[in-house]
Amino acid sequence: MPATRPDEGSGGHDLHMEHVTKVFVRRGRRPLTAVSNVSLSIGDGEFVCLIGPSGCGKSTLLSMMAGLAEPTSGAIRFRGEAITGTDPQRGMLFQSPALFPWLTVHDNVMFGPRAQGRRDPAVTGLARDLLVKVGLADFKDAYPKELSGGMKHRAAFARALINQPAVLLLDEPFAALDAITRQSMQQLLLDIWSEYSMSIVFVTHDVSEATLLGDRVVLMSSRPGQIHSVLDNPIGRAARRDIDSAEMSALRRKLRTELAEVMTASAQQPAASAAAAPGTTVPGGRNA
Amino acid sequence: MLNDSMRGRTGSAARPIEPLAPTALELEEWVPSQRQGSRLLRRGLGLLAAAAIWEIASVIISDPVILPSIQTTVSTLVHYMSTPYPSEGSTLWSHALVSLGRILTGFVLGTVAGVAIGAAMASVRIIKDLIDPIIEITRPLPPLAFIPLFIVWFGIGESSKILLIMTGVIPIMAIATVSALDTVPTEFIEAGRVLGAGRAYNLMHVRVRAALPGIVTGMRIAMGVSWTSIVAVEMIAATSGVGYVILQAGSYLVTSLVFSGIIIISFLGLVLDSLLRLLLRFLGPAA
Repeated sequence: MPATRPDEGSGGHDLHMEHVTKVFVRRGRRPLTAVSNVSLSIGDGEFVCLIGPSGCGKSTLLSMMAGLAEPTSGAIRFRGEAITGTDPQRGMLFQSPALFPWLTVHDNVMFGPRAQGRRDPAVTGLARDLLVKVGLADFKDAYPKELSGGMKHRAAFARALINQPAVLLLDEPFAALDAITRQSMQQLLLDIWSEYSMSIVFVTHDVSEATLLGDRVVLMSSRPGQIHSVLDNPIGRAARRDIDSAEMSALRRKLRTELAEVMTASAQQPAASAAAAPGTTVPGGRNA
Repeated sequence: MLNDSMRGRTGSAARPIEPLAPTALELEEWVPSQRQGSRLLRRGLGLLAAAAIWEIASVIISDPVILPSIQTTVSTLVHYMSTPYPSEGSTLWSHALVSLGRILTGFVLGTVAGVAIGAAMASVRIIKDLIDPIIEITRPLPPLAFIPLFIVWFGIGESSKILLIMTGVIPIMAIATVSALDTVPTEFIEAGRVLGAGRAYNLMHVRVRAALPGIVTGMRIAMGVSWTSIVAVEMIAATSGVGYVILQAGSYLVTSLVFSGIIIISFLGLVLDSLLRLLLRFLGPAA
């Protein structure tokens, strides 16, 4: 794996999805279409939020972008090449920090380079810098169980960033955090994004989070999961940070109204299709 | 932001500075260590109380065949460490070593086989479906039920004893391995893959690594079962080993030697379990 990001392909599209469909075949039940005919391009350095009701296939779409799952039909390209599996160039953060409990914070961060057989001193230096960046320099020898929820997520950030990914995929990473911690994590994410200039795809079900973070907000509808509408964030990146401004309130209201329409539409679907997609999660949706 | 154990860490890290007055951090660290000390004291007191009851009971009964005193038991134990028992046999030391050798052979072989079976079950669905019912049937059986069968099949030599231990160990280790491998969170495996680990690296450094504490916990349970099996089979078909000594001494009403044998078993069991616990600690936090 190259230590630095190759420059070819930048300026174009980092991720390009064409008519992506994912169908889960389930034993003894009707097949479940989690994602249906999604076409979407993520530009280089863009911050895109995916928002939608539970079960709209946004997590499934994200794991296909990561290379953890394959589309049933359609194609996903990363810098022009079809995705065949995971790639350290596409980092991912999960709903839980998923730190390895048997490794210290430092060894967790070093997992990626070690797994790729990189042991150069530059990586060790980068690990140190990243731990400073996420405010865990004093906790590099601590085990994950000794960290608070927010600190675990910071460590997970450092672990993903050490691969210097071109794309960072985030699957509702802050959903379980308290409001104050979530806010500081959002801030950290924005800092990291402006410093490392990567593309970010951020799955959320929080309207405020989507309007604050996303250059574009992709609204998905459920059963089957497809793109309902794409909203270009009219407010500049700096101006968004003033979340109580009139523009931000109006934007949130607009998105919330659209989200409500999507929810009503999916609730009015016939019972048979609702029974085909029970509960809030997609069964087996995260398994490749 | 910090939880309690974290404060403990910071406290110990701050130790070498040696402030003149105890800081809040140090005081906080004091409390658990004091509590730990009193817990150790209580455990010691419990043991002491049990010994006192034994001693008092032996004085009241005043019949060493029914209940020898602690002094009698200890002097018997020391005596037979150098004197063979029975007179044409060997010392307690060698009996203990014989039992230990059987245990370790059966335990190691059984653990290797059980982990291999469990790993195969966890990775191949068909193997799991084939083996699962066999294990479900054999698991509730006490290994002791197989003693007569193994004697008929393999005689009263070492092989029947080692096989008996393996009979107890294998299903425990297979189940422990399957469940340890199956309960590794999917997110760990996915995290390893997106961080750039290849399949083999991810298998060894994430899935198997995450399962190790569960497997070692299974080994602790299997070790207990091994002792049950070996003592029983030594009582039925053996001319050496601690189980044999206990049965012989019982038949000749040398009760203090029976107690000596029991103490040896409990000592060896404690040592082996401590080694496994050490291994578990060496593996680091499991969650």
